[in-house]
Amino acid sequence: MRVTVNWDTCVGHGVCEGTAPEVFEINDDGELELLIDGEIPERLLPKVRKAAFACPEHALRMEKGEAEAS
Amino acid sequence: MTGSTGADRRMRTVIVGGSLGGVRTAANLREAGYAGAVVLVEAEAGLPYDRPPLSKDVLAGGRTRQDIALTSSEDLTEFDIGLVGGVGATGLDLAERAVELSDGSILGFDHLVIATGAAPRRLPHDSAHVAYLRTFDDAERIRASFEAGCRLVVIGGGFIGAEVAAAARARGLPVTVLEAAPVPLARVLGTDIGRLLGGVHVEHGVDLRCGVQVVGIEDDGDAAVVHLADGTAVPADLVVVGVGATPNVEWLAGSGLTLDDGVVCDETCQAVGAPGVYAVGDVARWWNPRYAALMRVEHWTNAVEQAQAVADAITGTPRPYGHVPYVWSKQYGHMIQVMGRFDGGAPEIRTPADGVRGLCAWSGPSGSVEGLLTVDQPRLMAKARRALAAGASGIELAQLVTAHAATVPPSRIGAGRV
Repeated sequence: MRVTVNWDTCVGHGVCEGTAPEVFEINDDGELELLIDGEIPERLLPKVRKAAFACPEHALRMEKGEAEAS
Repeated sequence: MTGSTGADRRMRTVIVGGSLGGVRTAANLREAGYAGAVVLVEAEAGLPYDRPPLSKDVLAGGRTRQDIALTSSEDLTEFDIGLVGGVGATGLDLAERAVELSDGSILGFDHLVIATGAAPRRLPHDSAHVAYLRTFDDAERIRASFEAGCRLVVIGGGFIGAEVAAAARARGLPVTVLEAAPVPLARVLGTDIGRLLGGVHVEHGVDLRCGVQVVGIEDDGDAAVVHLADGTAVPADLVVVGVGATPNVEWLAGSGLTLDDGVVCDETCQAVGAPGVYAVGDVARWWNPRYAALMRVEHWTNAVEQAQAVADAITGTPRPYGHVPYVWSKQYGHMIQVMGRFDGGAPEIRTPADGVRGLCAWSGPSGSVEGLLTVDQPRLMAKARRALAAGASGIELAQLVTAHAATVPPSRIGAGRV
């Protein structure tokens, strides 16, 4: 699984960073950065899923990676 | 792992209220390895959903209830969270450690989390054309009325009322906003900021009337007439009321819990005098060590952060829950964000040349920042909130904010009052 960000709706509330800091970070410019671009390690999946549900802008989406899709 | 104590009986946490605070508490318990049963009781049937989109994207159209779900059936199963939907709590027996449910059943608990939220404050005037906005069905009803081309009257010029008004104006509908105070939002943000934000309504064609008292709402065939104290009558097909909310604590009357504008809790969010009973979200009035005061905060972010504090307490690591309020509102294409409190004297305001886009205002004693408001500057707000979370002082926040605001020309408000 991977996580995608809708950059049109993300405004940097930073809730995802609080939920899964291993994957999400608000940088010094106040913008969201994905620290893992690609497959999310299994052990982080519950946290990342929680972050996706917790996004106040519903800007995060979990998607099957290419390996799983093909 | 603190979830199980004996081999013979599994611990159980009952969470009453399956909205944001309740759902997040359940998820946090599982993440912390809580091994007991987790039961979520929610009066509304169906999967829990998120409320901020109700007055925004749902009114705009195109967002289904599934789009704004807070969890999925798969996740509930995987994390072993029992959802009892369509059943409300009717009573609490602290001695028996049990919750009474509307279907007559009794649910025992080791830990109880009260997450019943708040209900819109109701006007004494009854009319078939009056709507309140709290549930998905409420939002759908308002949206349907929008689509039928209603004349809208909004009572209350707060954020909810403003978002409903903005959604209606986006469809070109005629909108009147009735506000009891002389300036909208003045009680929370002060009159200068209130005037600026109120001006946005006017700019977008809303008939904003401040300092007016609604004395009656009368049904008139397919429409309604809103009567004001000065004798004015305002016709409407739909009247949306957004005049605040009151915590849902009726079911706790006589339980022995201390109820005073919410469930009164200590700094760890545990109900006063009731070990193992916690409150989270809109219904909780807890001792906020950040301000050394009992506070009840109806914002989304508080429910999220408080749910973590409550889960920590249940899993054996209670901690003082200090919280700085943070709220945002989307209206007329603007993103308004507010952090902290604006009760520290007249705010500093930087306004851009025209309109409110880029507006920045802050307030605090002796040069510090205790409250910050931005319009369409999410990155400044993100930086400020991040600094705050990292322990920045009010003075350090002031440096961050003024460095940024230096890029916005100063213009003290007051000369050209609305």
